[in-house]
Parts: sequence; C-alpha cells; structure tokens
Amino acid sequence: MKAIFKRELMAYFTSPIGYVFIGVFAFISGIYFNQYIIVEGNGDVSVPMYSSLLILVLLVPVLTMRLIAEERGSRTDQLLLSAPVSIWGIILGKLFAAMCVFLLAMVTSFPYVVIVAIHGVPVWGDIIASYLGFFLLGLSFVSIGLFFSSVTESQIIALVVTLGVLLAVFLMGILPTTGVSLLDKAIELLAVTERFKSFVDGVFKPENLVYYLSLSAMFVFFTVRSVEKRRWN
Amino acid sequence: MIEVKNLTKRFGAKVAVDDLTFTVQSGEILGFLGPNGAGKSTTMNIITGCLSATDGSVSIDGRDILDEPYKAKKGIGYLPEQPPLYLDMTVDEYLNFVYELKKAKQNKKRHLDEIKKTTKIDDVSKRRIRNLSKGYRQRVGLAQALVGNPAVLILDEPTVGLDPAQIIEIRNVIKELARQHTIILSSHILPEVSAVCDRVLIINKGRIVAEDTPENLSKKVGGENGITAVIDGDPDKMKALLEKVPGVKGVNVIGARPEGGTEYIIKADADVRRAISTTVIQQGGAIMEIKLNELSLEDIFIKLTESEEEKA
Repeated sequence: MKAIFKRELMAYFTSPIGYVFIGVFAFISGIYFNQYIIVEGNGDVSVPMYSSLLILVLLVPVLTMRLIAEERGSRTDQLLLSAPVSIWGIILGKLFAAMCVFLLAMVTSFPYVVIVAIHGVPVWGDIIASYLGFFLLGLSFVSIGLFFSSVTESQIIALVVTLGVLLAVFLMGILPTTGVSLLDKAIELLAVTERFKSFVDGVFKPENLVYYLSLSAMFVFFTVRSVEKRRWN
Repeated sequence: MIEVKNLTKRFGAKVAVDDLTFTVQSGEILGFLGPNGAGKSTTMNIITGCLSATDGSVSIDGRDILDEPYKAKKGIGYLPEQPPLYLDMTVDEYLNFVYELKKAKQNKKRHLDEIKKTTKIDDVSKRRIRNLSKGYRQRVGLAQALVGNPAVLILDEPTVGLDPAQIIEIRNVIKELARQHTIILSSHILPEVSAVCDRVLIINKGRIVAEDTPENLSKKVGGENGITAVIDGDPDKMKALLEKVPGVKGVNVIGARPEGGTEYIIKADADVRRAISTTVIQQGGAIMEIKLNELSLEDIFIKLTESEEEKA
C-alpha cells in the first residue's frame, strides 16, 4: 500500500493533474475568499468555503479519473495484481494519494484563516467544523470518482460519469421538496452536499460524520469489488 | 515447482483454456507454444494470479495461488505480453517502486544494480520510460520481473517486437537466468522456443496438443516424412531399385535436376539412407545428395494443430 501511495502521489506531480487541481482550486476559491473576507471584511471563512463546493464538483473528477482507468488502459494493473499486495491495499493507497492532493488544495485557503485570526475575531469551532466537513465531503467525492475510474478503461468516460454523478448529487441538495415523504427521504439521502451545510453552520452532528464515512467506505468497497470482479469475469 | 491442474477458463460461452494440466520442474524452461488466441496469455495470467480460473488450480512451490496468494505471488516474476510500465517514471524510479511493491528483502541498491546489469539497462536508468525504445522497454519489463529474485519467471512473448539483434540478446539473458530460475516462456515463434526451452508444450484452442522436448517432438511427428535423394541414373530403373530396399514404403519421382540427377522422395519406416546408398552404388548409380527430412517445429506445429481441427 505504501509503495502504491508513493507512486500515485508522485504521478500527480510528474503529470500536470496535481498542479492543475491545486492551482485551479486555489484560484477559484481564492476569488470567493478574497471577495468575502478581504474586500467585504467578513470574518467567517465558512461562507466562501461553502461556495467552493461547486468547484469540488467540477474538479474532483479530474483528480480521480486516471486512478484505476489508466492502469487498466496501460495494462500496468497486471503488475499490481501479480504482486504480493491485496486489492484493498492497492485501492486504499490510491485513495490516500488522491486525498493527499486534496488536502494540499485545502491548505491553500489557510492564509485567509490567518488573516481572519490576525485582523478579526475567529470562531474556531466554526472554522474547524467547516474544514472537517470539507474534508469529509472531499473524501466522499474522491471515493465516488475512484469507483467510476474502476469501471472503465477510458479516463474520459470516468471523468464524464463522475462529473455527472457529482452534479446530480449536488442538484439533489437544491431540489425543492416534493411532499412525497418517501421521495423526499431518498433525495435527502442522496444529497451528499447538503450535510456539508450543517458543518458550515458550525454544527457538528455525529450522524453526518457517520454518513460521509460510510458513503466513502461503501464506494471504496464497490471499487475493490469492481477490480476483483474483473479478475473473475 | 509449478503445478497446474485441470485449469479451465471461460469468458462467457467462449472457452479460453480447456482443462489444462501440466507441471514444471525446478530449474526447467518450459516453452508455451501456440497460435495467437490459443490461450497462452490467459493461462499465464491465471498462473500469476491476475485472472481467476473458472475451474482447476495452480500452485507455486506447493502454495496455491488462491489460498496463499501473498506467499505464492512472492515467488513469481511476471512479464506480461505488454510490459506493465509506468511511462511517467524513470527506470530507477520504476524499479524502486517495484522493489517496494514486491516487498523485496535484498539489499536494494546492490540488487537493483545487478538486475540492471543483467538486462543491460544500466545506461538508461535515469531516463523516463516514455522516451525509451521498444527494445529497452521490453528489457525494463524483464528487469521488473526479476526484482525480488523470484524462483519462477513467467515470460509472455518476451521477444515480441524486437529487432533480430535484440532478440538474440534477450534469449541469451533468458538462458542465463535459467540457471537460477524456473521459467515458463510463451511464444508463437517456433525457433525461439527450440533455441531456449528444455520442454515444449503446444497448445491450441486452450488444450495441450503436444508435450515433449523439441528434439523428440521433431522425431515423433517426423517419422513419416522420409528421405530426399538426388540420384544419377535411369529414373525408372532407380525407382524400381529403391522400392526393393527393405523398409521403403513408397518412392515418388520429383523430377530431373538441372545440375544432373533425379530427385526422389522416399517414404520409409526408419532411416534407410545407408541401405539406399549401398544399393544405388552397387547398381552403378551415383548419389548426388541424400538427406533425412526432419520436420521443423513449424511443420510439427501446423501438423498438430491441423489434426486437432480434423478431429473437431
């Protein structure tokens, strides 16, 4: 797992993908942060953080598309599968590497926290909850992307499908309620991005932590099964 | 060392490998021969654990590839048909990665240096694999298989796409490796297998059609192929004479040779060259040329696969 983690992380930075992900994220979220905190002089970092959500929807597919699809396309999966490593080890190594890049992107907004801490009155509870929520949301997104990267040899298809799914999930969150309780319940379950709201509001609900962690675990499990299934086909 | 029992692999309705059973002794080089699509790569993928079998079992040094995958896989080095290279890495980075991936225990630097020397890639170790030629990539692929010094090497068409000089070089490397490793090598190029392997397994449509040493295979199928002789003398008389030689089953007159003499193909049960030459000379003829028609592996191969098809 460690070897795969290291290789994946290196691959992110020998190709433009890691730089593009971090750069574009820092740039666009920077616009939000700059506008809200510097220009308007607010002290609440959770607001621009919530606005950055849409960037994640658009960028995470780029981060995850190559993870497994590329291995299948270039047949390097044969090296991994014939090596004394478990499929879980392979998948988790890849997940952690992608999350590492994700964390680096998150870190680019720390200067704004510092600015708020120096010039304003930071509400640390809110800030920590926001970052935790953002991380969990990212973990869920990356797991979903990881899974769709495992079902195809084509990085483009992995990209498009992941983007479609994340957009759909995002839209679930802003859908009006239908009044049909079963349908509303389903939408609430699928609205992955909505639970991030309570983190942003500074409310930490353990159920949301459990929700994100189990969602991620589920997709990692699906990924492992999908790689395994290909062996059995 | 390697034991394959009743191995079967189906892809949907298509049977890729059909009840394959064979063993490879320690230190042996087994050649795996078959036309494209015969099931060679599928079998190798199953032996190395990349693919699961529909039925049957594979064990490496007594360890089942499914029951004890880690221990079994540690003993295997695999070079798939398309070398599994990360093009964005340099050769050194790649070999380091493979070393860690396989959890090798050797002294890293010395071990990798040795491998690079064996496969003659030490001069490109700082270059990105993307920029290497096909021949070098193949060698890096071979180097990868050697990391961790596995007892078993599975090489799927190791010389495909290389130029003749590189082919000879890779063959020599493989022969060198055979001293310390048990090797299964696949190919659809027959001289290659006869040049390198101790034993050949010919498979077609997922089944074994023949299994023997290259020489024995040649003898076995070559019994009926006869003798070619160019004899100077009256063709009718000579034909009658040849037919009387004990052991001869039939004589075909091929025709006159421009440089003199007539060419015959003589079918016989055994090697009757001695009897033929004494008879011919006693009767005043002259032998210009005489040879036993040994079948090349190509001929054997075509014969075996054709007779398989007739049966089916």
